[in-house]
Amino acid sequence: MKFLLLFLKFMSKLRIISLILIVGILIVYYYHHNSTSPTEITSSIVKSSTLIYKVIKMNDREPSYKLATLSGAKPYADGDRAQATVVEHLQLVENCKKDPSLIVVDVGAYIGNHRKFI
Amino acid sequence: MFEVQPDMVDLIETSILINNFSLSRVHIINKAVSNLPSNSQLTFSVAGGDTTATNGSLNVSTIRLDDIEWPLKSTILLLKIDVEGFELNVLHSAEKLFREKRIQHVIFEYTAWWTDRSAQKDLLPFVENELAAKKFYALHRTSKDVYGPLNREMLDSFHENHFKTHLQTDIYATFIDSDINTSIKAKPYYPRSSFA
Repeated sequence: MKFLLLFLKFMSKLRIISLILIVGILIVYYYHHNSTSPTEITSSIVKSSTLIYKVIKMNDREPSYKLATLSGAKPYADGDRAQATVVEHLQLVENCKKDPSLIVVDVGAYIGNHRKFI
Repeated sequence: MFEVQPDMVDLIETSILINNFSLSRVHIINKAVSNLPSNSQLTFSVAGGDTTATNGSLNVSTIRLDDIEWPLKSTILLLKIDVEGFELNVLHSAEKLFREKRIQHVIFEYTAWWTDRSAQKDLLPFVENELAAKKFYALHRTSKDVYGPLNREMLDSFHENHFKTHLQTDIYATFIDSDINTSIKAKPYYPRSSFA
């Protein structure tokens, strides 16, 4: 009986440790899949003695493009995913290529937060 | 593209050049889109990359979208607006374009609960009643999910629900007729769970 109680106590500790491990693995997995991929700076553009732009490749989307940045880091773009669903639904890139009379207007084009349509 | 921060304008222009995009197809304009008479002067404050319309040092000329000489017979396929709470001003500046059915789709930021954004309460009714939007969808802030179309009941309670729960979203509004085959694929919108 004593052995059985010790075994159950050991099992419950094991369960707690397993649970912590599983939660830890899930957190690491979540952040790995939701964070932006490491940024590769493809070139630099010297604007002045104190200002250098770092060019990165935005290759986590189609069509990919180069982006001039101050920090060399990919901009935060979580809010862009659902917008991208709309852009894809409208076939925006394809339709604008085919029809030059179509215009896309971006008001508040601040490049730090948002995906560009360029 | 319209952007008030000169530093950001230069970054965007540089990005256009290094991608060899046609300068005849991409235009970046260093003006604030507003319903004030075009060429009025606004003063902004820039802090940490954000632009706010408080007392500041950045003087910017304004422009109304209706005052722009758009190419003849052109159509604005998508108008995207993210202007830190001034969405209503931008939309007011384009009323003629909407009346002439020259704007087909709009995406704008919707943050009901920021204290300086009281105008947000009027945003959806204005877009629906004055600009004659056909359908509204709510966009998830981090996933690729689109919810809607929002029905009458959802629209009527949208501001209150988002205000109470401090939700931020983007709104996608369509201004052209669409049927089940041409509408965007979207999930049903549930105020309490769609943005949990």
